[in-house]
Amino acid sequence: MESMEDRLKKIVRSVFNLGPSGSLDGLVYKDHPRWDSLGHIQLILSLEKEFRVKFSSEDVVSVRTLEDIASLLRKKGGQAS
Amino acid sequence: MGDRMNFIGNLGPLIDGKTGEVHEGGALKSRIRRRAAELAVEGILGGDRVALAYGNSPELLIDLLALWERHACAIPLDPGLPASEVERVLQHAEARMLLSPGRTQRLRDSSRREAGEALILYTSGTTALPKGIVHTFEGLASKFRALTENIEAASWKTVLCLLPMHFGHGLICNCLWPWLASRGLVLFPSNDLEVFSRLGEAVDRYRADFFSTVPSIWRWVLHTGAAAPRMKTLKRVHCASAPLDEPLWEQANAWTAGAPVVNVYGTTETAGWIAGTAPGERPEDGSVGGGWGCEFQVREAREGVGEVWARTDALMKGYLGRPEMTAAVLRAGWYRTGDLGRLDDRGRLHLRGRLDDVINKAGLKIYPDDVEEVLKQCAGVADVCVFGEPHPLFGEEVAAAVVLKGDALSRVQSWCDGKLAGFKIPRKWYPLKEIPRNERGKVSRRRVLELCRG
Repeated sequence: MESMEDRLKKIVRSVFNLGPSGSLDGLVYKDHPRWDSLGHIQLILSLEKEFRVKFSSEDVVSVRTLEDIASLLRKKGGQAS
Repeated sequence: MGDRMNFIGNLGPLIDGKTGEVHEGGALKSRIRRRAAELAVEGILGGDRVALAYGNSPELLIDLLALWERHACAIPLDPGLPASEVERVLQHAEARMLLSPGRTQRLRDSSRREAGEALILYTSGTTALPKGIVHTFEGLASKFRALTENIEAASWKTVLCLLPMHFGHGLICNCLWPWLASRGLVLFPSNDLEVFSRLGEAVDRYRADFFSTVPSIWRWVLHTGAAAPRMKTLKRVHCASAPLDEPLWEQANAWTAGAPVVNVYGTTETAGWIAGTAPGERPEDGSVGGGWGCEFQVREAREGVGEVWARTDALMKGYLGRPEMTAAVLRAGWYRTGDLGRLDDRGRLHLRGRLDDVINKAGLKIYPDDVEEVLKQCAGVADVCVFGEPHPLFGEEVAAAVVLKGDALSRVQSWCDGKLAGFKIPRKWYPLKEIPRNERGKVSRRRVLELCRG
C-alpha cells in the first residue's frame, strides 16, 4: 500500500506540474514560482480530496513545507495516515 | 473627491495591515511633495511615463501621487511579472523611469510625453503587442465624483485593501477613491491567504467600514471557515471582477452579518466600477444593478440579451499605441464591453457571460492568445490551444491542450517558468494528437474544452 508521504509527493508533483521525477527538495510556499497563493489553494483542495480531510483556516496558513503538510496529515489521522 | 490639480488635498492615513504602522495624512502630503521635488530634479516632466513596481505598499501610493503632482503618468506594474514581460511593457510605454523599493532606474533621457495622461494599466504584456489602458486625470476625477455620488460612504472612516494595487479595481476604486477623500486605508499584501484566513480579525482590529473583494476570496473564506468579525463596524462590502453567483452572495451576506454585500460591475477600460446593486437587494445571478455615472445600452439583442455598451466620463483614452484595437471598442463615446447582458424595465443590468474567450481566474484576466503565443515558441510544442476550465474556487483555471513534438510534457511545463506570470501558466494540461479545427482552420476553444473534459 502506498505510504502517506508517497501520496503527498504525487499530489504535489501533479499540482505544481513537476513531472514524475521532478525534485521536491527545498520546496517552500512562496519561494517556488508555482507554489504561490493560487498554487497553495489548489494544493489544499487536492489534499482535502485525496486524504478526505478538512483543513481549517489556521491549518492552511500554518503549512509552508512538505514536512509541515505531512505532519499535519498525521495529526488529522483517518485516511490521511 | 479631488481634481487634477489637487489630488493630495484631503489624504487619509495609510496603515500597514500586517504591522499596524500608521502614516498620517499630513505627513504623507509632505512626503509626496518631497518625492515630487526629487522627481523634478531627476528631470521628470509633465506627461512623462514612469513605471512603479511595488507590491501593495504606501510607497506605491506616495510615488504615484508624487508623479501626479508633476502631472506625469504612472504605470503600476505587478511586481511578480517575469523580467521579459516587464521589459516589454517598459519598451512599449516608452517609460522614462522604473521605480521599485529603494531603487530608481533611469531608462531613457526623454520620452514621448502626452499631456493629461495619469495612469496606464497593463492588462497584458506577454505578447509583442502589450495592452496598456490609458486613463486621464480628467477621467479619474470624474470616476471619483461618480463613486461619491452613487455610494453612501459619508460615515466611513476606515477601508481595507486586500486586492492587488496594480489593477483598476484595487487601485482606483478600493484605494484611491476613499483614501483621497480622507478615509483611512489599511493596506495588506495582495491575495494573502493569511489575511483571508483572519479577515474577521482584521475587520475588528481596524474597525473597518468597507472592503472590496472578488468572488474567489469569498469561496476561500467560506471554504476554510474563517471567523466572521465579532464587532459590527462593517457598513458595506463590494464584490467585483468576476461573476458572483446567488448562493455565494447569500453566504457572503451571512458572513458580514448585516453589512450588505454589493455586486459591482466594472472593467479596467472604465476605470473600474460603473454599476452596482442596491444595498440589501435580493441576490440574483448576474444582477449588477444600475449605472454609477454610466449609461448602458444592449445592442444586437436576441430575446433581450446582447452586447453591453457603456458610456461614462471615466472611460479610457484608449489602448496605448494600438489605434485599431481602440477603434474596435470605442465608438462615438461608447465602449463595447464584450460582456453579454440584458437591461430590465428599470434600466438595471443583468450580465449573462462574455462574447470572447478571456479566462477569468480569481478575478485575474488572462488572454488565451498570449499564453499560446509563448507556448508556440517552445521547441517541444507542435500545436496548442489554451482555454478556461471551470474551477470550484477560482471560477476558471488556465488549461492547455498541447500536441507534443517529442518533448516530455514536464519539460514543456518547466519551459513556462520565467516566461509567463505565475497566474497565467496553465495548471491543467491535456496532451492531444491534434487540435481540432473547423473547415476554415479555426480553433473553437469551447470544443477543445469539451473534448479534453470528455
